[in-house]
Amino acid sequence: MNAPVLSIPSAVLPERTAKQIERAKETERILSILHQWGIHTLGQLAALPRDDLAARLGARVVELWERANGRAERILKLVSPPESFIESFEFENEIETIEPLLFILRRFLQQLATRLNAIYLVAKELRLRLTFADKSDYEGIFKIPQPTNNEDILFRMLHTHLENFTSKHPIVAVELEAQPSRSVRQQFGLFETALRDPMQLHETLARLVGLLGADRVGTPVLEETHETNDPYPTLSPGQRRAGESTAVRELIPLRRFRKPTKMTVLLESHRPAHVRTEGVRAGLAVRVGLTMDGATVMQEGPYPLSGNWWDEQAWARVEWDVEIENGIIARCYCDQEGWAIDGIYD
Amino acid sequence: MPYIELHACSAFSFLRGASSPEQLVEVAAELESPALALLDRNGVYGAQRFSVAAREQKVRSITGAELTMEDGSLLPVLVASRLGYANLCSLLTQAHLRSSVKGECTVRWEELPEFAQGLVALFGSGSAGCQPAACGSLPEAISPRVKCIVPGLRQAAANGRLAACPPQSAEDRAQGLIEAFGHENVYIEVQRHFLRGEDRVNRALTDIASKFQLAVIATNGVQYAKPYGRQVLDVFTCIREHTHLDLAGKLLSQNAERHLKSDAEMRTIFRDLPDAITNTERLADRLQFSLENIGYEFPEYLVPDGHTMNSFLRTMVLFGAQQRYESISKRVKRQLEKELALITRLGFSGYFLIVWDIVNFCRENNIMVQGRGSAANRSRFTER
Repeated sequence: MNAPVLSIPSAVLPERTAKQIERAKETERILSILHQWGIHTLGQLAALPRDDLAARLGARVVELWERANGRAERILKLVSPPESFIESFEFENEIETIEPLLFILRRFLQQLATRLNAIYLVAKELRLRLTFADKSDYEGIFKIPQPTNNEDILFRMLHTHLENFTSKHPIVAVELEAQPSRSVRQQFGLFETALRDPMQLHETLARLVGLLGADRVGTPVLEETHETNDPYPTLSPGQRRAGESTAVRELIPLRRFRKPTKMTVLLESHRPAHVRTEGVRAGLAVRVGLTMDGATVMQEGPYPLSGNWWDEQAWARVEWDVEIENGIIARCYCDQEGWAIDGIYD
Repeated sequence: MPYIELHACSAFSFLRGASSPEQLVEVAAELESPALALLDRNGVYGAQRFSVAAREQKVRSITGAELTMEDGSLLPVLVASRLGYANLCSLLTQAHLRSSVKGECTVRWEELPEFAQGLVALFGSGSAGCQPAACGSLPEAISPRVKCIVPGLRQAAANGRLAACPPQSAEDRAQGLIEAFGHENVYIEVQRHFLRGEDRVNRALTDIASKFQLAVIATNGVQYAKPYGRQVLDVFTCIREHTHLDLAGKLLSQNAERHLKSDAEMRTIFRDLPDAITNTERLADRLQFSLENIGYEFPEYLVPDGHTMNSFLRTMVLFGAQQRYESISKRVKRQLEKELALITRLGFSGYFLIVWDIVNFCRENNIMVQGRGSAANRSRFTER
């Protein structure tokens, strides 16, 4: 058996820092001296007197000598390559229906879940890639609101999405990749409200997107413009203080019409005295059995508003809150196109 | 009794006012307004130009300022007397000296009692606490639900806890202002810009006026002279908020009502509160201070016994001249007499002595001294 040889296999060394490079150069220098002395094996090095070596070659050679004598320990660090969680399959025959695709996806999910479970990780995102017969690709990314390894939940997510999926060409290959993350453990605050089942909401939203289209599902936000102003009225029915022109006992929200309805307004002393809608909207007014037609018993306004004066979308309107004799409180306004009703207060 | 606008700010309220003092005065003259008050934010920077322009247009100028308080609210104050002007300047100086950010300052509530004399405080729609009215919501500062925590400014200041706990509710603030400025020097200010929710605020304010028996005045919180000034103000708002018009959204004004309005317009707007209009002239009559009779006094210089500042200046000048010229020629003597007579007549002796003292100190301590071209710096007296 050959004795261990003194050498540095530079090819296997990882990328080094400046300090490491300096140490390596120092080691090389020592090794070249040792070779000149005729020291070629670890055994020969180990047999040399430690202090004499140190006196001649410095501190670095002591480290090498101790290593050669088995007195120094270097603990090995386990470096494992990043694990990828990808499952893929190429179909022998092109598939044109969803069933075989779902079948293979469920199997993928089982395998991915098993692998993730084994290292205590969960999936936070799924990436589905379909390859079609014409070599084109489709990629869908599914963010999982509450990371999980539950294959049923993950499968339902894919299933919901694929239910409404169509393509021009048959599928020839499928690939599913899971992005792992640590399992979430969250303690909610005493007064915090959390979704009971975030997955359910996500699934419901996915179904809505499937049914209506992605551009027709979203979250309502208030517009940053004075054009759609304060949704609260300055009038409210009943309980007015004697002699008071207006009184607000409580704030009630405005039910704004999707499109304002044209109306006719009779003015007295520049204030709306009688209002009538040209076509009563089917919907709310019908549902509550009231019509937007009658004399006003109270008017609040005017509220002149204008904006976008710097571009062609400039607008100006004068708003009024009016209470009609049948009890409806409405917001109406007058702009360049005449009078219209903007909505009614609930 | 004509309506007088007692709350207008000019472009000297940096990026908060769109018209120059001259433009405001010009429009006030067009509207035949006998007087106009300029209240710029945290300063009286525009007061001089305003005063000069007002004199030319035969409009009486009234001075004031909007003070930013430590809790972020605004306190508009009007100057009633020369002492009031001095107090206002002291308040502003102290606030600016404390501030580490240029152009920003805050006045402490506990400072008000000390410097309130000669000032009239306005409480209401023009105060920052009430500005959310523009958004249609009743601000907390006006909400009657907010409990009164601090009983009064003086008491709280005496307890040393005012700085940590400024007045919380609207009634609290009103009470504090009454204690600081005196009952007759606090007015409730109501504004109407045709915005949703402002009537609720005004109703709360008139309730406070009734409770404390304070007079109500109407103002328009003017930020531009003519309605088209709104566009300039919107652009200023964008610059101030580091945004642009398309993204500014509700930061911009809702309408163009914050312009100078005529007596007839304001009477129509406040037809249900006629006293609020007539009170403006009553208050304006009390505010007789003008920058024209400011009578500035230079600080005094301590002179040796038996000397006045004039005589000491004369002695030191002649002493200095002898050292410089050895023998004083008639020409030099004539020039010195001429300059001394002028300085004495203008009451500048103290100022010259102070400059002389500073120059001396610098020379004795080997400090290079370089003036900025003032008369004192260039005079023969400090030249030696």
